[in-house]
Amino acid sequence: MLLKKRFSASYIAYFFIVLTGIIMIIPVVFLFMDSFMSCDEVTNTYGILFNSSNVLKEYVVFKIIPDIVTLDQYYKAILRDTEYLTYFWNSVMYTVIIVAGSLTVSTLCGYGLGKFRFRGRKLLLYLYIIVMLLPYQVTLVPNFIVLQKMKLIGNPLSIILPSIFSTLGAFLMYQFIRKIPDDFLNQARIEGASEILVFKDIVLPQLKPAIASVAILSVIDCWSMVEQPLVLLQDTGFYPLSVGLANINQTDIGIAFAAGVIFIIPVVLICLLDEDYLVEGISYSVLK
Amino acid sequence: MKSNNSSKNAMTGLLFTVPSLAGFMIFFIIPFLISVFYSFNTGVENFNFAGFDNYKSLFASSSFRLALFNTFRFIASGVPLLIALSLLSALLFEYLHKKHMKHLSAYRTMYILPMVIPEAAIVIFLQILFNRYGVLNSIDNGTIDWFNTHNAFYIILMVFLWKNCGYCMIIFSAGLSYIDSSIYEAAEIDGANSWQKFIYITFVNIIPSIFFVAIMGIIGVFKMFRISYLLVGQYPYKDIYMLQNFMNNNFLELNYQRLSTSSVVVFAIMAVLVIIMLNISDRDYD
Repeated sequence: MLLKKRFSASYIAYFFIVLTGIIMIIPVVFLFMDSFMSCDEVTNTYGILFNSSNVLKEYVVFKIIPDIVTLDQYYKAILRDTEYLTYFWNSVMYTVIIVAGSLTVSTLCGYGLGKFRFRGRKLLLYLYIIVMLLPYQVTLVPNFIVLQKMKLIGNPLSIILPSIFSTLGAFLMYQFIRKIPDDFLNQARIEGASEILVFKDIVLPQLKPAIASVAILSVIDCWSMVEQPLVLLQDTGFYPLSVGLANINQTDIGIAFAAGVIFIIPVVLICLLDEDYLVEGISYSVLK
Repeated sequence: MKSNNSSKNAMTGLLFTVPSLAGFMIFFIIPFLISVFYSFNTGVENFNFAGFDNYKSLFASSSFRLALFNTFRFIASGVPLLIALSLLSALLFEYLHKKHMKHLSAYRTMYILPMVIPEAAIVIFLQILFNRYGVLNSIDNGTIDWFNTHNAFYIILMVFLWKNCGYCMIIFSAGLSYIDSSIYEAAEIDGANSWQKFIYITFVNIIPSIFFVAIMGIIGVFKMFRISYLLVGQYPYKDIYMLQNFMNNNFLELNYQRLSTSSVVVFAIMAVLVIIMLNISDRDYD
């Protein structure tokens, strides 16, 4: 009887985990597999999705395994389609600038909030947490109003600037910095180091894993931002890929899959290689 | 000497926060105050105090009420499901970890993957499944555009769960890892069975995490706007028209009062929830 009980409980758990694991990755696997179809094959199989003149009322068929395995889509997406490349480089540019700026601002702020005492500190922290947990739409409205007054609507800076000052980074840095023992800092201060030196030579090196985690979370956030470009940018030439990809799917379905794969490669690589930093970052936003 | 040190300490600390604070004031605090101001005003040029007129007309608007209702419905059905699923997954992972299941970390990676995948990338997958000429229709030879039926609600709900389950599972795993295992042993000695151990030890310690997951879930609900926009555009089917759609459409019409009023309302609701959560989880930010 004991054997039977152990058999069923573990195996049910195992089955559940495996099943949900597969469900989690099915869309990605599908995207990946179909990206190796030639453009014509894609249009033949899936073109009728958006073709309103589909009188024959054919249906699409799920094709996991391409008839011919080719890199045709990738060639066309990278070399032929300038629209796709524009979107891609927009995404890269926005992400790099935002993450660099955000890390600088957040590290400084986290240090100030974590290792010093001043009036209003606790209030500020609470405010940061509240704003951090608001949906985009709520902060987007005040953002929009101010950016309008600054005449920045339509300019990529309207996306970049507010995102640099996002409070998520500051809060995470604060959580990480709290863990650094005060003794290191005090020792350096007693030996006469200036505050800037203390920050640069003692705090920063200890923060490397924290910086990695916050950077990863910020990259993921930036790479998939949709609300801000939609509202703040009118010229589609400035759109990042997260918004532009849907346009490409509709207008040029031939490269849709490769386009999607190239789009998700950076973030998927981050997830696969730096999963621990990612998990740590998430945990630190929760724990004391 | 002591007071000199502490005020110097305060000054330095404040200086470090200045860049972040400056941006925070310019892009969030001051604009938000302006927003509140607009919400109590008749126009954007004049300074006529309009009392609660804007709020009254907002709640009288049928599209706002529809958006509010849909959003609440989604949150009320999606978030508890999310909490249940991710908690269950976290517990199962713990359990299988104790049983030394092989390659468990590979499965954890698979769970996290949806969280990093941008919404734009899975839109094509959803179209293939649910479009008028999609796979699901080919099974029964129907021609339903699934995104225009009530089923659109369930589709978005499934996408919501798919995307957020892994992330919330990590939060629960982190929360679970903080429970001291010696408590379980002490309970066993006192004669507690598995169910009692779960309720009185695991569950009680998980409550702060549950609140945090609830908040993240609500944020995730708002992010579902991305999926619905990328799939069906500005004016989705009535059952999935949510607050985000309402606010977005008002943006394009440059209707400042409405925007400001609705964002103040949403802010107030979220702020109350967050403050409750912070108090329940009994954080100590020193």
